[in-house]
Amino acid sequence: MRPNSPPMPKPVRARTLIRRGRIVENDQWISLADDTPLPPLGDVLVSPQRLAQEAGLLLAHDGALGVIFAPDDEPGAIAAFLPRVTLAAIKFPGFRDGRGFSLAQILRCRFGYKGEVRATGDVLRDQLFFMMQCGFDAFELADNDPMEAYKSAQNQYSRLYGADTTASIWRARAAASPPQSDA
Amino acid sequence: MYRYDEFDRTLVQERAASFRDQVARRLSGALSEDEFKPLRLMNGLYLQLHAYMLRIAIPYGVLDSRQLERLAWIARRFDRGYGHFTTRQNIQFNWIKLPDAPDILDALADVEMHAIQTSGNCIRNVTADHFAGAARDEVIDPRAVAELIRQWSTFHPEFSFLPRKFKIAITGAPHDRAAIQVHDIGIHLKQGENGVRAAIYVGGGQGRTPHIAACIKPDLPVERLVSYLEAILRVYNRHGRRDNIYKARIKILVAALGAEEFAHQVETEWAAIRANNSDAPAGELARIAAAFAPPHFEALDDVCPAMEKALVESPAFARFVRTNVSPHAKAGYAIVTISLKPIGGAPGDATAEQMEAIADLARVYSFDEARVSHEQNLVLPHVKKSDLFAIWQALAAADLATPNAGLISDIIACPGLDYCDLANARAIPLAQVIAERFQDLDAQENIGELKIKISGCINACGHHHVGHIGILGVDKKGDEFYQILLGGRADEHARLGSIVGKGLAFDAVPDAIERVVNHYLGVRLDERERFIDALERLGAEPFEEALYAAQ
Repeated sequence: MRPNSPPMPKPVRARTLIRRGRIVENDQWISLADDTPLPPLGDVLVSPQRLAQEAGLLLAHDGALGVIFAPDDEPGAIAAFLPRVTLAAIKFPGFRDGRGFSLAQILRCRFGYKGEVRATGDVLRDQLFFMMQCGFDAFELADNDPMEAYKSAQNQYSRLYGADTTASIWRARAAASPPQSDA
Repeated sequence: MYRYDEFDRTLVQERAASFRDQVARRLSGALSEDEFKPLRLMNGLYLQLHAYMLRIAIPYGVLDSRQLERLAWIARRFDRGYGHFTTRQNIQFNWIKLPDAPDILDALADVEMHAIQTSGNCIRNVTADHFAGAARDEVIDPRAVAELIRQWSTFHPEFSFLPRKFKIAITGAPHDRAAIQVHDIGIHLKQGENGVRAAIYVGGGQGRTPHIAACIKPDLPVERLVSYLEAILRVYNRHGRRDNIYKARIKILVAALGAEEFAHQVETEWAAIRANNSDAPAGELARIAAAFAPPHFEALDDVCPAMEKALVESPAFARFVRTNVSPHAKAGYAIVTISLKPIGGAPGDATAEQMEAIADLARVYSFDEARVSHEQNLVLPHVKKSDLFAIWQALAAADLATPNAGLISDIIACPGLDYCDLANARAIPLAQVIAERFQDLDAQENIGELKIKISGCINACGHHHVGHIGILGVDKKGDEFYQILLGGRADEHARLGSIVGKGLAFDAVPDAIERVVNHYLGVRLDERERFIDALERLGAEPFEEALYAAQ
């Protein structure tokens, strides 16, 4: 027999939110569908399309403002409002769908977004390290031991090469021996 | 060649440790096969017809003796005493047990090797001209840039879950031995007025929808290569199709947008990421390039009397030199291609003993270096002409002196139905019967350069689209059939072959090929007109008629 296990129904595990290294028990965000009326107060999470359309209303709203991105959303359309946004949630419809990695990178590097970037949806513990490198700092994890998963991901690799990663091997080498001029 | 520093070593060791943990979780049942699959695939571990297959990267095809010996040891200790060199400058072991995989990775890390990104939807092992740093026609040695790309793409946090796999090939010579135009990205390095420049080709590939790449950036300063690659990958990661794996490669995106629009989107993205400083710091490429400085060649005459004498005395040696020895950039030196295509053998297979024999030869005669070519042969890149006779004798003793490099029996074939889960038809046995049909060495040499490439399914791992004669195995209601393609080539004049006529049964293929070859011999202008030249001069139709003459 092939060492391939038959497909089994995946047990539904509760999702735990980890934000900047801590488990968050009561996530205060109210997720609003595009056609759900805005509540009088509270921290609301809306699509970028809704933010673009109802910017005046949402920016005047009594409560914090979050945006939830689908993988194919263009953040450029709401770039002007990003300084007022405190949560950028990025949906992962399946763990193989890597578009969210680029979205996070664009939010952080191109638009200088400083608020929370949260991975939501189908997120595997083995992706956390890469997500952290792309600027995610919050994760909704369906894992038996989410805190252990988070901590081991943090230490998975001590450094990567790329110049734009947080602990860059290239930059460390350049710092150790600055380039000599040819003269 | 490049040596790991502490940073490189740490990263590879950390990878091995993290994979050990993932395997332990799979064996304990904490990970389902579905969850484990993308993780093991990131590490070159495939589940095949009979067992796990481990694919190990040989970055840009460069190996030293110690590494070859370690591969031999792995073949003996964990496999069945042999390994299979692939068209992507990897080696595959086909009989691996899952619990052994972490130990193999540790053994590889010891000799600065790994299986990182040899599979999965990520940037795969970067491939290069197997004569890099040695070929007489080379303008820029591509190995330093290839190593820079290896580093940049290793665990790239943004590009580890792409729509599909992603292959980059690089050359620095006018004659393209790396098939760059049938890769997702092909890079051709040139000497510009102010430093090295790169021509960037995008959207080539084989598979079920083959494309020749388009040049979208003819003159990129090499210092800006990393950020430009980043821009290409980001456009692809965000906009490549994910709804259908057969339409997910970058070639489909480039074809859908048009090369011009794709190039425009990349430029826009590139302009936006310029400020991020994602290019390698000044000095990093130079640091790497220093590791590829030429070895200490002796000052020699290009004419070697000892070799000339041996050529006269031994016709068999003379034949080997004609077919398997190529001109070296340095006078008095030569490049030896070691054919892994013995008549009747499995293309690309080498036993542990053969790997050790080649490691010995590399150590004694070739500055400790060997190469793997995308044509599934091995190479001794820097040997003295005066040593060629001794090398040839040692190769013959190890069954490695088949004088057929570039000839009709030097066939590329994928593993096919003998190993592969995806295959529809056998590829290796077909390569064997074709090689047997043309085994006469005089006849082979008379036919001259002729590249036959065989794939056991439409995924085209055997590169049938770019064979002078390509052969594609298909399944028709449970029977194997083979479609023949004529006129493909993967060099600097890259072109896709076109399928001619209806499929042939396994047993009919050697006869059909023999008729095409005989037709060529009858119509060629002289011995210098190769098969592909004659076919391009006369068109495919007469060759196609010859192919089906008996039908």
